[in-house]
Amino acid sequence: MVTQDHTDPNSTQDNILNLPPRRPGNVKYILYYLRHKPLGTIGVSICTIMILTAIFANLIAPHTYQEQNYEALKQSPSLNFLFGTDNFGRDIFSRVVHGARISMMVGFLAVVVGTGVGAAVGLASGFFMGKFDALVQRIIDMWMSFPDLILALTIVAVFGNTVPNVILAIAATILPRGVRVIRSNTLAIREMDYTLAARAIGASNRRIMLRHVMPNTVAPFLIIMSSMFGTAILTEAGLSYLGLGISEPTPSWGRMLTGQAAQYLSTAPWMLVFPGVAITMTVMGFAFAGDALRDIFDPRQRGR
Amino acid sequence: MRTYLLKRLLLFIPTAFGVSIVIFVMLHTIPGDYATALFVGGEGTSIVTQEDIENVRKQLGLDGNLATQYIRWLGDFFQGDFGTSWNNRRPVIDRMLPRIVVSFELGLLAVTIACVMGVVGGIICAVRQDSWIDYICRGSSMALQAMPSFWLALMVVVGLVVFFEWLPPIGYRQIWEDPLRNLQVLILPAFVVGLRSSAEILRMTRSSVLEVLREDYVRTAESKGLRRKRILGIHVLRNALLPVTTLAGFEVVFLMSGQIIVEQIFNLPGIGKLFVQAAAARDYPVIQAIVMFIAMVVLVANLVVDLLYAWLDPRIRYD
Repeated sequence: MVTQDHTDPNSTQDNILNLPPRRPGNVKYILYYLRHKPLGTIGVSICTIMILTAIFANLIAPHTYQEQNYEALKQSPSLNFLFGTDNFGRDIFSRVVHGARISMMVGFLAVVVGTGVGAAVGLASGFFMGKFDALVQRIIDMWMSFPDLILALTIVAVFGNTVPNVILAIAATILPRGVRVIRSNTLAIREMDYTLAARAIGASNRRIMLRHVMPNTVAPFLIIMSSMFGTAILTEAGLSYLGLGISEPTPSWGRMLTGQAAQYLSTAPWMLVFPGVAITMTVMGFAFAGDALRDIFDPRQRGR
Repeated sequence: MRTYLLKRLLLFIPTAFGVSIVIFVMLHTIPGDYATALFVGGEGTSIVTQEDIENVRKQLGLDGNLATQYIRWLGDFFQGDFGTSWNNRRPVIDRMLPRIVVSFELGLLAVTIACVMGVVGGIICAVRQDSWIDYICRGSSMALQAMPSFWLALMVVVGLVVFFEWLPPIGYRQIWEDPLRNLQVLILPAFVVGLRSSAEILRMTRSSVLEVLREDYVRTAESKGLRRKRILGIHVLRNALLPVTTLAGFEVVFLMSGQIIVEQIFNLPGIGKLFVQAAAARDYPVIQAIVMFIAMVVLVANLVVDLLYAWLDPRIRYD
């Protein structure tokens, strides 16, 4: 989803001359990159802010998320209550800040489980090929014929909407995409000269897989993790909105928009605006960061 | 082409069966079955004998082992009997049919809106690359994709209420009863659902048109002195819209996720609303039937897209 492709031939000439070594991990290159790709920088900044907010929610939020102030019901945003208060007099800013914690935690764990298991299956499927691969691919085909929300809702409905189940349900929607991406990468790496060389000197399957193939799938793995993070947060918000995600009183962003909140859309619209802004910002931030990661790790895909 | 068609169809059948098995097994691994759940916790639990439970099980079609249950369920499914709702003891099919009409209508409207907005926007962006209109379209399409659809819906309603003091009409009417009212009620939800998909279609159309614009045959057409409109219409669009067709097919899947939530917000009696109700009440036969139905719609949509693509683009060889 990269948007800026600087294909102006004159400027690339200059860039090549001034470009610090293109190695991931090179600080100079990263700094250079951040200056020249503003969207990536914005994305990384948003991600950092959101992660810090989630970690230090207790310090940032002026109130607790449950504190009800009956003298200040449905107040519009002010210095006291940055984002206003809801129908129970709870400070919406504090709730959004605490919501970051639960939404990010659920999103993060779901992505780790989903892409992690997906990558392991994809690696095995791409590496061994043959019948096993064909079987896995058919299963993934079936898996992907369920729309995300339907799959997640069904799992939560069957096993109950506890936090671990919600995480697993979201992970289940991510898993097939992890398999697809890592499998296609593994298939490509398998044909590389260094893999063939390793095979020629008699390295075992295990060794080739762990020492040669796996390290080279780290980049796509990180990229898919960061781009799936946004999807995970959206799915969590959707589940919570429908009342089958994280339950009250834990403030999840999706949950804050549900039920009664909609009744106040004409009298207290701020109740609806800010949690949604938080979701949108986070999802966008991680999407931009994912694109930036892809540009750094895989320059060939730049501008796609 | 014929072999491809045959192969694709043959692949469809095992996938469809696999999906049905997955759904069936998943919904039957619930901890504790419904027959016992009916009695446990109620007054006079001790009076209930094992025989009673067996009877209820038979009524609900839960007797026998998993394989016989599956075959019975599948047989019923093909005969249009989707089981009986556990909650109100009505046949699931009766509850689903009127709702499928609503959802189908909403989906059709949404896809139309998404395609028209996405394709037209994408072409304008590509032709006027790097102009302000290009930046606005791309920026807003990125923002749209990051928004949860229910929040977008809420914001649209908030905007209408706060700035225009106008509340969209609620209360669905069947299209054959009151077509105008039907459209009034559906247009806003369809717009919200479609908007999100249009963002993806816009980006795809844009990059695809840009790619084709750089092709040699476009340069040839230009040097022949053809008018720009004619080049766009005849040479560019026919080639550029091929990948968009595939994407539009996949959007059908994404649309469904959006539809579930939007039906909830606008209180439309569609399949998504029924699904959420069933999920909240754990009405397994209804969940099972709806998931099965949706998975089949998706599989058929994918099949149609694949075949359409092969038909539209004869350059591609499938073997």
